[in-house]
Amino acid sequence: DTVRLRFHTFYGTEIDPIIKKFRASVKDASGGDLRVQVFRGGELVASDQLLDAASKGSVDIVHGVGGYWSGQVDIGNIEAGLPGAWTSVDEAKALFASEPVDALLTQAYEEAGVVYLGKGYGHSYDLLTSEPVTSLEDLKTRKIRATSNVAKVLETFGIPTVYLPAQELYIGMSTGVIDGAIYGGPVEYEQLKLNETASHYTYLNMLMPGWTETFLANPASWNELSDEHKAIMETAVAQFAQDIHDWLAEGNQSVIDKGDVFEFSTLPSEDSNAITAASQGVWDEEAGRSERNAEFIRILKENAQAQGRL
Amino acid sequence: MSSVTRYLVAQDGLSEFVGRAISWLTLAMIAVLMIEIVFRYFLDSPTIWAHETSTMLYGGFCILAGSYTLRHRGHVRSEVIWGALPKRGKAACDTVIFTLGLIVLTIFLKMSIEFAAESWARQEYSNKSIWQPPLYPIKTVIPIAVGLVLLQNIAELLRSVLTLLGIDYEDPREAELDAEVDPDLLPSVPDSDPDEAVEIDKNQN
Amino acid sequence: MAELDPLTITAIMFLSMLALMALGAPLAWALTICGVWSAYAIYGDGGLDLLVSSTFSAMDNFLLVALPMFIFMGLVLQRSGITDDLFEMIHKLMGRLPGGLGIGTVIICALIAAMAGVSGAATVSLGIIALPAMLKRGYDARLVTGTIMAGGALGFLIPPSVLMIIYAFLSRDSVGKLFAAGLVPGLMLAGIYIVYILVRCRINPQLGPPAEEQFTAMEKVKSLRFLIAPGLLIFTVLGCIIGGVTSPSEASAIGAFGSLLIAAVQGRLNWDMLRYVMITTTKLMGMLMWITIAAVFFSKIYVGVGAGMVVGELIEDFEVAPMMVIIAMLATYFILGMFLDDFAIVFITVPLFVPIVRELGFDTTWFAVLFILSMQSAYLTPPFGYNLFYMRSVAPNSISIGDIYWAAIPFVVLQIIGLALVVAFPQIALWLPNLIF
Ligand code: NA
Ligand code: NA
Repeated sequence: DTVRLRFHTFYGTEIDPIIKKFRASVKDASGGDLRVQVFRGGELVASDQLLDAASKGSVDIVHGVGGYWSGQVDIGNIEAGLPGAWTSVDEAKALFASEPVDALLTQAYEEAGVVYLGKGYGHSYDLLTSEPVTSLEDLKTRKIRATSNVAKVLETFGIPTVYLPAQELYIGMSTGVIDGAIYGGPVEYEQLKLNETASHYTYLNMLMPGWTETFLANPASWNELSDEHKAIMETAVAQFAQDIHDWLAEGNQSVIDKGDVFEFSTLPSEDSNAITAASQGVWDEEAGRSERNAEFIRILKENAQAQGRL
Repeated sequence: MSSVTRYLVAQDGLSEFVGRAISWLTLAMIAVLMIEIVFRYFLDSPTIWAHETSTMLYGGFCILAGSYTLRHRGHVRSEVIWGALPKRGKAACDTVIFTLGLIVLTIFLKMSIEFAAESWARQEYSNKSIWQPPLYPIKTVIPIAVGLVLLQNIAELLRSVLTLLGIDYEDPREAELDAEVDPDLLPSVPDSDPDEAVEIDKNQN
Repeated sequence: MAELDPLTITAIMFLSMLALMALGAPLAWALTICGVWSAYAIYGDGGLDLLVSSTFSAMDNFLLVALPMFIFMGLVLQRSGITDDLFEMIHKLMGRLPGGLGIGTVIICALIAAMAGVSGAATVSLGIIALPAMLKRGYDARLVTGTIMAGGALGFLIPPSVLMIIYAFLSRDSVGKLFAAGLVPGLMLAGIYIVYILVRCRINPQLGPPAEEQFTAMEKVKSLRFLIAPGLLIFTVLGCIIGGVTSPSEASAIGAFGSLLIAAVQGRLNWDMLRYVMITTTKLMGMLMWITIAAVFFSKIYVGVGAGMVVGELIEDFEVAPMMVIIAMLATYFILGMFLDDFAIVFITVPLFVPIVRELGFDTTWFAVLFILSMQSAYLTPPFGYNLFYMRSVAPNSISIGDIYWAAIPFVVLQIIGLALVVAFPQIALWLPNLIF
């Protein structure tokens, strides 16, 4: 009998080729016994409802970012990526692969009624503005679109932040409702056609990868799978995550290589350091939410010290 | 007044009361957004709360309005066939619809109670902006609104069953006119019944 | 059940929904009942949770905050006598022109459309104010009722537009962009109506005889003062949205607040009016929210079954020309428009059609304008058309329902001509948004 799994990602049509490969790999590896039906961002449930959907079984596996459900799971914001938490993909990978962090995530998601399957890693997450930026000082007179913890850090420098949904970014930027946005990397900005309205891309050196992704399963659907099918899914999901990361990395590089899409610059290192220092307030706030968060933050700080950043 | 009529008066009165009470939220939404505009453009310091507050006011206001709309037969229906049926034919259709509605709304109520209860248990907060308000109050509005629509649905079902069975009862809503047209303009419409216009004035008070 | 193919399941869902609607079920009830039944049959308990998550998504959207605001604004304006003032103005300015009052009526409709988010406001108020005045001056009843019904339907095309906000919510387009795209086609359609009235009155002056009252130049100039308040409001609200000064939701609040201000300045703001506006907004939003919830839920289920994918593949397999697909969709809209409410149509079809339109490589903003143009016809096509009903409820008994149906037909033809122009020349819709954004 064919087993069918409903898989919901937060990405849209831009990753269709990767989805196609993912579905084919599961089908081939299982000899057609296991099939995946993939839903793109918002198709079945809004991204901030993904955790609920997995715990209730509306879908079997979800692919999201901790920030979507940080109001429901204490560690959500921390695992998604706090400013200053890590500076390279290898560092982030090593951190999440370590036994204590893996145990924290497994336990937190078990309590939330889902099975933690693993992580994926995003890419650049920097500032795009219509006017050039040479320092944080420049930003104090501009309205920047940013969300949750990044917004908190900017606010400590007196930079006004605004929340706008992604679909309104283009018009918001072109008409001056906002002067800049922190939303993703070059490839995401180009896809939203923001290069038509704003051409200054500033590396913040705040966080790299700028976000991490999480795969979660409905416990009942997951436990019904045979060990063989579980192994197939784990492999396919890991490859899917890797493919998305590679696609982001290549996409960002190709936008940079085109040369005429954005003008790239980097925030002065003293400003980047100031951001990391200011982030500590946000880290401490997150640590205060629960004992588990305090433990996670302690590990993050230890790691940052070991890397020589703190 | 028979007990059926007393029940209908009470149920209609409940939906009427809720509708009138929440109608004030329209002004609250205008006020919240105007405050944001003034702060952002004239004082150059956008608030962190106006955006989400206005969204929550919107969501709570609109879903709570459902029972008021049902009480005033304001939910859009296609009358191409239904409208051509005799009174008891309409009642037969309504009996089927509101019986099914009763089942579905009961399921909806049960699930929305669970939805809200989980939000309370997790002390869930919103993560859109740095304001991070709690989400359980707005999620609690859902079961309340669904419960109110369920209660009004029962009244509609009772009306249609009694009409279908040919049981005579006094419907307190009978005399009301479901005006699509602005009642203020109606008295100027040729041939409009002056008694109806008076009835509308009564409703407004 | 889960083994049935997606098209069969979708067909069963739609047929049972239509059956319930034929029984007279409120749309929200028909969609929720069929949705719950299908969700349970296809997904089991997990599927039912989609109902609650759809509910929360429908409530948790800043974009939709503009809906009650624009409705509120339209109701205030309707109650503050703006239509009377404007009609008095065109009567003085254009009454002497053959068909002049008819042309003026179209202009008033366009002005009201630029202030109100829903169609209907203009039809009702002009039906009460302009219709008797024109009949008294010997205007042809069918020409006049048709003009008022068609002009009233402009409310959706000329921004602000509640229907466009809902379309943007479902298709994830930008509201500001849709508003900008609707403006030129809306003015074009108004222009088509005006030309039609002029031509018919030129051929047969009996259709719209010139008024006998004479007004001095001074009186005419003075009557222009009635344009000040609506002009300011239109300029502010549309300027804020299309000029991007504020988000559409904030602009809608400015509009609602501004309309109260205008009413207050004119001394027409009172407790009864405010209460009527608040309570009517409540009733309308209760209807819209419950349809939104039900329709989002219903569409999630058939998306979940994979219906959209299958329809897309069918189109691919049969190698249908992309333009034929668009025309087929527009024909579907025309037929649905004869029987269903515009909000029902937007919720049922947008999640199904828009991904296909996008896949075929068309501009979804352009398709949004085609959709809105089709919905204007839906307001006029028998047997189910709101403006027909509104007209019936305000027209004198000497005008029969048959007259009203016949009156609508030439204007439906004009609407189809307008639609064909936008299909053939997408730039009519896309020029302004491309220019601004
Ligand atoms: Na309009
Ligand atoms: Na129609």
